[in-house]
Amino acid sequence: MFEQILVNGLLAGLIYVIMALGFTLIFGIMRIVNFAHGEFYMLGAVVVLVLFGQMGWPFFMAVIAGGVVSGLLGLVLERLLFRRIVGDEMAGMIMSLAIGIILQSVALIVFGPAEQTVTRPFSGTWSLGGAMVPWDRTIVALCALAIIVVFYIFLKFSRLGLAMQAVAQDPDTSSLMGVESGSVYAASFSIACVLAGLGGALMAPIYTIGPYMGELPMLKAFVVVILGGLGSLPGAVAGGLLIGLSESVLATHLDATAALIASFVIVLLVVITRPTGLMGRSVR
Amino acid sequence: MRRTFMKFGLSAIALSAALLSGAAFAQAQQTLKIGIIAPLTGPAAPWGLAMAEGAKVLANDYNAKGGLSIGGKTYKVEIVAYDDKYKAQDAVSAYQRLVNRDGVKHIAIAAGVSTLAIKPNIENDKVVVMTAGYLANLLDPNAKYMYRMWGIPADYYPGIYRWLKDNTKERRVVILGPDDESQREMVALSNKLLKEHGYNVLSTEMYDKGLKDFLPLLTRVLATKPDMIDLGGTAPATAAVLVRQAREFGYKGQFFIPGSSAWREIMDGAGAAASEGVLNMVYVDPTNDNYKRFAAEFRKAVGQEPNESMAPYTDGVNVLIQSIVKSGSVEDTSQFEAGFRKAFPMKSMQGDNLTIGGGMAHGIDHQVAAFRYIGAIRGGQLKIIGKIQ
Repeated sequence: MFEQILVNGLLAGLIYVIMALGFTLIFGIMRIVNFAHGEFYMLGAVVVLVLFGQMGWPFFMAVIAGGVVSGLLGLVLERLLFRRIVGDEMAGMIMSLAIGIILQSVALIVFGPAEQTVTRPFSGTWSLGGAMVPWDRTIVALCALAIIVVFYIFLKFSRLGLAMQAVAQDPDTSSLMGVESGSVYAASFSIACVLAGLGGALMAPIYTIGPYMGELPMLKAFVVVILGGLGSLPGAVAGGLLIGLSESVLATHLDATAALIASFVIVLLVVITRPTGLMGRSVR
Repeated sequence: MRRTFMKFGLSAIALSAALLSGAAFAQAQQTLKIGIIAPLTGPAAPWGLAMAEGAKVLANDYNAKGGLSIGGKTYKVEIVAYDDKYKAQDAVSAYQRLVNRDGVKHIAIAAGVSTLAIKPNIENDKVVVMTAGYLANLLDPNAKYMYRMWGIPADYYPGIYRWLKDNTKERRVVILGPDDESQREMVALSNKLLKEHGYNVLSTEMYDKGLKDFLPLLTRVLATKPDMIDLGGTAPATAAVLVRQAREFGYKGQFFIPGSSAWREIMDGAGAAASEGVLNMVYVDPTNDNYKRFAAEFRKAVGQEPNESMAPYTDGVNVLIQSIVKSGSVEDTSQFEAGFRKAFPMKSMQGDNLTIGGGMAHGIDHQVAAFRYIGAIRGGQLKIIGKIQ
C-alpha cells in the first residue's frame, strides 16, 4: 500500500503544481489573486470536450487548443480589465471572482448543467513495484513534468522570462531598465491561463466535465500557493507535491474530508508562523 | 363615404364578435397552475429538469385533449417552475413567489432539503405539496397537506436487498456514499439490511460530494477485498468515475447501486467493459413506449437525455392533478385528501398500478407506492431483471 499511496500522491501533486504555477505567476507579477483561475481550467476541459469528444480531433491537439483558448481569453481579459487594477489586491480579487462567476454561468447556459464525460484516449494500468498506475494518469503526469520543465527553461533563459522575473522583483526599477511592464503583464496573465487551460484539458478524460469543475482545483491551487509562498515558483512545485502526498496519506488512511481539513490546517499554520510561505518573499 | 362608413361598421362588429367570443372562451376555460420547485441549474439539475419538463409534457397532453373538468369547469393546465438550486433559502423564495404572486395552491418539489424548508408554511397557507424528497421526517401525522410521490429508501430498500440476496452470490460488501443528510440515512439503512441478510459489511465510507479523485479511497477499500461495492445514492456521473477507477485498480467484483439510476452515465463514462454486470435500481424500463415518447419531448426541449427520475416525478405530478380532479375543487385544498384517496388505483407512465402507501412507516398514508426496477448492464445495454414495489 505504501507504493500506491506514494504514486497516488505524486500523480495528484503534479496537477496541483500546474494549477498553482499559473496562480502564483499572476500574483507574483501583477499582485492579483485570480479567483477565476479554476474557470480557465474548466475552459480547457470544455475545449477538449468539444474538439476531441465531439469533433474527433486528436487528443493532444485538443489539449494544446485548450491551453491556447484559455490563454487568448486571459490575454483579452488582462488587457481590458486586469491591467487597470495591477497592484490593487482587493480589486483584483473582486474582479476575478466576478469573471469566474460569469464564465461558470456562460458554460452552464451553453453546455447545460449535467456533468459530461469524454472517451479516454488511454486506458489500462501498469505496475510500478506494488502500485497500479493508470495509463491515463501516467500520460498526464509526464505532460505535467514536461510543462514544468519548459516553463522553468522559459523563465530562466528567455528574454521575456527574465523580464517577468525583473518585474516581479521590482517593477519600478525594471521599468527604468527598459522593461515594458504592459507586455509583461499581458504575457504573464496569458501564460498563467494557458497553464490552467492545459491542466483542465489534460484532466478532462479522467474526471467529469461540468461548469463547476474548476472550483476544487482552484481551492487546491490556493492552498498550494499559500503553503509554497505567493509569488514563488519553486514554492508552487514544492507545495503542490507536498499537498498531493499528504492528502494521499490522509485520504487513504482516514478519508478525503480529513485530508481537506488537514490541507487548511496547514494553511492556517503557515499563515500564522511563516506568512510568506515555505519559499515566499516578503511583501514589498 | 357611405361605403367607408359601412366598411368601418362591419369591421367594428367583426372585431367585437371576436373579442367577445375570446372572452367567453377564456371564461369557459380557466387555468390550473401547478407549481414546481426544483434545481433547474447546478449539479442536481438533471433531476430538477426531469421534474419540470416531464410535468410540461403531461400538461400538454391534458391540454391537447381539451383540458381538465374540475367541479363543472374546464381547466387548462399550466406548469409554473422555479429554480431552487438545491438550496433551502432559494426554495423558500420560490415558494413565496408561487403562493403569493402566482396564486398557486398545489406544488411539486424535488429536493428533501427544499421541502423541509417550506414545510412549516404549508399548513397555514393550506398549500398542497407533493414532494420527491427522501428525508423520512417530511411525512408525519400532523402534516395534513404534505404528500410524497414515491417510497423512500426506508420503504423500498427492504425489498431491493431481499431481491439482491435471493439473486446474487456476492457476500463481502463495502458501502460508499456521498456525504449529506439523506445519504447518511441511506447508508445506515443499507448497512443494517445487509447485515440482517447475512452479508459481511467490510466498511462504510462517506465521501465529499465534490470528490473526483477516488484513488486514495479505492486504495483503502479494495485492500479489504470486497466482492461487491454498494454505491448507495451516488450521483450518476460520479458513479461512472468510481466504477472506472475501481476497475482500473483491478476490482472485478459486483457493483450495486440501489439509490440512484446511473446506468447510462456509467456506460458512457466507464465504457462497456468496465460497466458489464453493474446492477442498478432504475425508475424505468427504457423500452417502454410511453416513456420513450416523454423522453423524445424532453430531448426537444432541453437537448439532452432525461434523467429517468422523470418517470416517477411525472407520475407524482399526475397524482397531484388527478387528486385535484377527484376532489372537485382547485381552490378548496381541504378537499384534496378525499380526492387523493379516490384517484387510486391509477396507472403510472409505464402502465404499472400505483397505490397508496406509507401509513405504517410514516404514520400517515400520504405516499404513492411506486414501482422500482432492477436493471443489469449486459453487452452495453440495460436489461430489466427484476421489479419491486
